[in-house]
Amino acid sequence: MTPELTVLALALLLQAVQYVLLSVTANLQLGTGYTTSPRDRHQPLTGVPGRLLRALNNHFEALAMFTPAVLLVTLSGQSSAFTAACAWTYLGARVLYVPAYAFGWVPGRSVIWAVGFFATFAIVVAVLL
Amino acid sequence: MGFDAHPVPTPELLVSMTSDPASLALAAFALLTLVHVGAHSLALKAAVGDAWTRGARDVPAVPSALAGRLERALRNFLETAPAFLALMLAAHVSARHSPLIGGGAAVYLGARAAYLPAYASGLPHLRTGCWLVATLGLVAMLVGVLLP
Repeated sequence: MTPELTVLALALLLQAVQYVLLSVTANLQLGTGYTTSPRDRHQPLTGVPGRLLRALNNHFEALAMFTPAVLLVTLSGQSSAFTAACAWTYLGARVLYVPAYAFGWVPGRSVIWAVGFFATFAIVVAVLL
Repeated sequence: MGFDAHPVPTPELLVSMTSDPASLALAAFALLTLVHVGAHSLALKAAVGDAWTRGARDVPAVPSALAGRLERALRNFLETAPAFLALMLAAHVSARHSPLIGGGAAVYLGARAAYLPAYASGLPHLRTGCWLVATLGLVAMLVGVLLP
């Protein structure tokens, strides 16, 4: 198990934590009557639950890039101290991204997002070089 | 023998990165995701301004037609991503290499690359055609993985 795979597992756990945060706050805001219904009438989330929903969806996008990057570096046997550091940087950024969105840090959230994004692509570039 | 019963993965799969088609496909996929996210992000910033995109987005902004198309293209691409990654992983884990898997992956990547400008162009049949070809690529990969 490479360090990158360990980070991938932790990133998936982070996604689970984000789900729980969203679920609890969204149920508090909309009520279980609505959330357990088929939701035929769209009821948008506002405030912090809305931010947590956008943070969750954004992490799905980030994982869609981070996962192949981790597979690449692991399957090609090119894990190095650099790629491991990039993976941990990604995870740190994605953890910070949640409070950054929830508390509305500007432009902190965008900067944190960019750190995770470029850490991911540093792995891909390191593998290709 | 004994201790060598479970050798570490060897060289055939781990040879020089750039000549390994599976790794190239994964790298191409990651770069394609980058292009999708980047294109949408830039179009959205151009349409609604930096202040909104950096803010908490509590009030929805109305994106331009182009930014909306690029967002839907990104969502659609991401819907297909888990299937592609799972099939790549399944092919690798079961050590299967066939024209169906390799060709399917190439078709998928090519058609998804064409899907983005096709969506942006607004030509409906072009976009649908690209989607269909990419999905057939996934089906080919699935058949390749499942065949005995």
